[in-house]
Amino acid sequence: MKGPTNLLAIDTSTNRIAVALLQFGKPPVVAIKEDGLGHAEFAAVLINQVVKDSGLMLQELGGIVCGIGPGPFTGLRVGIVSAQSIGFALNIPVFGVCSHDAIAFEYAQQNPNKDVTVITDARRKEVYWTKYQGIKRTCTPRVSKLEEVTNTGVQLLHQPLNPVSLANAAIEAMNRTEKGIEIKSFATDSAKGDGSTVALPNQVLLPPIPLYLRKPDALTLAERS
Amino acid sequence: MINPLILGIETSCDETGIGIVRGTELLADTLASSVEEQARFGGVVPEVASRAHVEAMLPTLKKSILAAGINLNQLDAIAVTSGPGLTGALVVGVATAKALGVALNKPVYGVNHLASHVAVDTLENGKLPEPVLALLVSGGHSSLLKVNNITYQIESLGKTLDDAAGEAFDKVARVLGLPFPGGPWIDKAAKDGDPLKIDFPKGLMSKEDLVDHTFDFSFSGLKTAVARWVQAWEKTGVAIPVADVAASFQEAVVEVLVKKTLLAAKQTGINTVVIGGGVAANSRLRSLAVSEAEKVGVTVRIPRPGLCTDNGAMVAALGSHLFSAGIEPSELSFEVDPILPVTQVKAS
Ligand SMILES: [Zn+2]
Repeated sequence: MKGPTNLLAIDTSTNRIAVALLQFGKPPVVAIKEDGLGHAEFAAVLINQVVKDSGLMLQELGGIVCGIGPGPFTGLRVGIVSAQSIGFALNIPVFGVCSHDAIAFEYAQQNPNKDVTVITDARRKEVYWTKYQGIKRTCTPRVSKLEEVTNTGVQLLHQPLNPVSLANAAIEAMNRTEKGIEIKSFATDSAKGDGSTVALPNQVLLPPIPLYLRKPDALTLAERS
Repeated sequence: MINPLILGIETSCDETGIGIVRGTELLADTLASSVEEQARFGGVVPEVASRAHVEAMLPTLKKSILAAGINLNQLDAIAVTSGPGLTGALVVGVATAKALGVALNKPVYGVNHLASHVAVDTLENGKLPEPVLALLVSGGHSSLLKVNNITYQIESLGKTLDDAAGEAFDKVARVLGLPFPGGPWIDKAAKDGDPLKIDFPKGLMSKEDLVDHTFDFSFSGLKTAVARWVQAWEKTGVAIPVADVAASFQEAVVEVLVKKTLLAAKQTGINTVVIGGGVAANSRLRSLAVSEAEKVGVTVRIPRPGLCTDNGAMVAALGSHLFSAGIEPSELSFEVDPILPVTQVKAS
């Protein structure tokens, strides 16, 4: 592993708050809270818990990976902001991985190179979805009604996100580059937030910023007149 | 500890505020505002505010630490607004505060935004008398409070039944074709106008209302009356006397605020009033409150305008008072509460 040896992984892109701490040569320590609608209440509690359970000092962390979505924004932001803040306080690198990549990664461990579509809840009777061949994205994440998901291969509908897979997807991306931690930025237009315009790099580390696939629910004065 | 070093985080609406205090000494007050972005929408859009908080949080934090000349490990505690406010905006500040608390192993206080507006006055004007009255007026709140002790005992005497005072300024500004946020523009326009030109209604000031809603406010009727007046005037084809409308509207708001506050002083026998919130930056409110209070022997304390509007220093100030009073920090699992009552100074 070229990346940091002690890696903290956080994802709040679904109703589940998922946290894991990976240490080289030891089994990962995981803390998960289902139905965690109160992401802001419990994310820090779970982070605290995995650190305590691992027996590590926080200062021994080498890096933090967070799921950047897609996911319902209010909860999603909690994990990202937590990762950013801890990284800043400890002066260690923080990077993002597309949350759907983690689900595809987990599936590909048992079923390599299959065509799969990862589908998660987007509220408002819509879903977020991304297509993969193995762990490689074959389209950028989208948001639409479930019926509009183009159907090829296996559909992974509301498959729970494993934070260990999030960390492993990040490590996999690090192993692809000579530098280890190399973060590829992507053009994100938070005002537009239109998924079809996001050019999201594949199988690399991403900046720890939310992946917005919807624009804010309001019209500007110019749009109204 | 006499002078604790406290970091305060405020994200209840559209300002990302980080403040650092040592005791009641202000070391840094750093702000990033999404107001320009909000102006495109003509008001605060919660999702726009939340996105801006995420982008602004770390840069604002870094700037503030640099300005204060401290490092995070020196902090004694972290305070953060846990409510009232916009949920999606509050969670960004609360997640930041908790993560910093975990990473640095420091206690975290979730604090009440309204109580923070009162506490900030101690940074400029020293210790608060007990009890003290507080008038808090902004785009999000209009409250009259009796503060027995800033760290644990605050009573609500009255609040707005409909619009907040600052909301009325925004809506009237829009009717008059002035930009968002309306407060500063109305204030400016009113300087050239006649405040007695148009007799706009003064909410909840009738004899009956003064019995049933002695210390409550209502600005929705006033806002509608201004809109109707402007509509009727437009039919004449003559240009709207913007300055006179602004001045008369402003006078109607300010007069009610000052009269009710001084009535509260009289009824409770408390002779010091703190005024805070964005509307406390209004020049007419500041001057009328001071001159009318003087007549009846009441002292008015108003922080400088930059500390009246939402900021991180006010949160740090309240955190400092809580810490110094030996009050236990919040549990790490404390909640964000968009309608946190003012009686709850600290999140449990
Ligand atoms: Zn406020």
